Amino acid sequence: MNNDTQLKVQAYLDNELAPAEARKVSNLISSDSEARDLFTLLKDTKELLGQNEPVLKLDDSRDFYWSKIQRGIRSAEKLPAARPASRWWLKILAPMAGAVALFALLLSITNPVSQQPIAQNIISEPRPLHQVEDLAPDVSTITYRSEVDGVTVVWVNSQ
Amino acid sequence: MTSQINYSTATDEVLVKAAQKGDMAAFEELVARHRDKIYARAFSMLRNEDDAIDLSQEAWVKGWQRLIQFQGEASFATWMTRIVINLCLDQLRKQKRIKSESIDEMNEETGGVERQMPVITPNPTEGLERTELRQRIDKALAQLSYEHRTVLILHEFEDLEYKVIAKKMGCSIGTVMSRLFYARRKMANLMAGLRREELET
Repeated sequence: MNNDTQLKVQAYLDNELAPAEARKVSNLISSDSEARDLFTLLKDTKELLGQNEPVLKLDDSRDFYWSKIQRGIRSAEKLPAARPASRWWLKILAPMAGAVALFALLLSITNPVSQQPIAQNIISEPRPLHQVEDLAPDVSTITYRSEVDGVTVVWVNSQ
Repeated sequence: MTSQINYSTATDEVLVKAAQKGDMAAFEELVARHRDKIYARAFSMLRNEDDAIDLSQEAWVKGWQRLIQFQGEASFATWMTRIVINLCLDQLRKQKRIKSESIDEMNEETGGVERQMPVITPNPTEGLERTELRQRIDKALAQLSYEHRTVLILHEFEDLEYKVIAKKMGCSIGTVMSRLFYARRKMANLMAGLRREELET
């Protein structure tokens, strides 16, 4: 019996085989004495352990054992909650970047370029949506402009 | 509200709910009820009394901190046992008992002595009292490498499936199967050997 078959016999015992595979192994156990002996040995060991888990008792008194747990709980509660690393610059830059982005958006809406005659836009080769500025890469603020559609998109990510 | 609870007679469910609301006396009662089981699981995995006590207490602290997450899918004792098992696995990983591991890993790869032995069905339990039997099992478990012992404990005592054990131990299902097979065969031989030793003396 090869290693693979031995492990399949064990998996059969542990109900870890798919039904079709389990039927094959069941037939093998019925017909092959070596497989049957292995199955019996594994089964006996499994049952022996399952029914006789060693039992241990703590010698420490209830109060003594609890006192350390109580101290652990209290000291853990005294600790300040873990905070992410402070990014003071982000707190300043993020609102600023947002304000700039908003301003850019408002500007683009009232931008006379977009209201110019089509002929002028043709001359300047209108492009599909493209990035026109990245105001603050550190705070992931990116502005996109599509002159074709006359749309400006501002993506602000303060994370 | 919490003062109405009779802690010693209340069910685990009642105590858990009270503890979730901050009643530490209820939690203390839960600790008193299940501390032996949690300690025993830590000891069975670590095989060191002091480490087992420390880790079991750490598990209770974590239990209190995470109590709000306990939704009652399993029993409270089972939930706490999972916490202590995870702590033990972390501890064992840190310790990296490479010395004993290397021999066992080699055995796994080559098939191991147990795999090549003819299958005999010993009767190591004949005429034994249950307490003696448990002591013998404990003695045999102590002789396994921690990885084989852990697989055996998680499967036979905690009834975890192969895939769950594999995830917890960070290995493949095939490795779990191989380790479990090796551990069972070795346990059978150790139990028979211990029985022979006792008869001889």
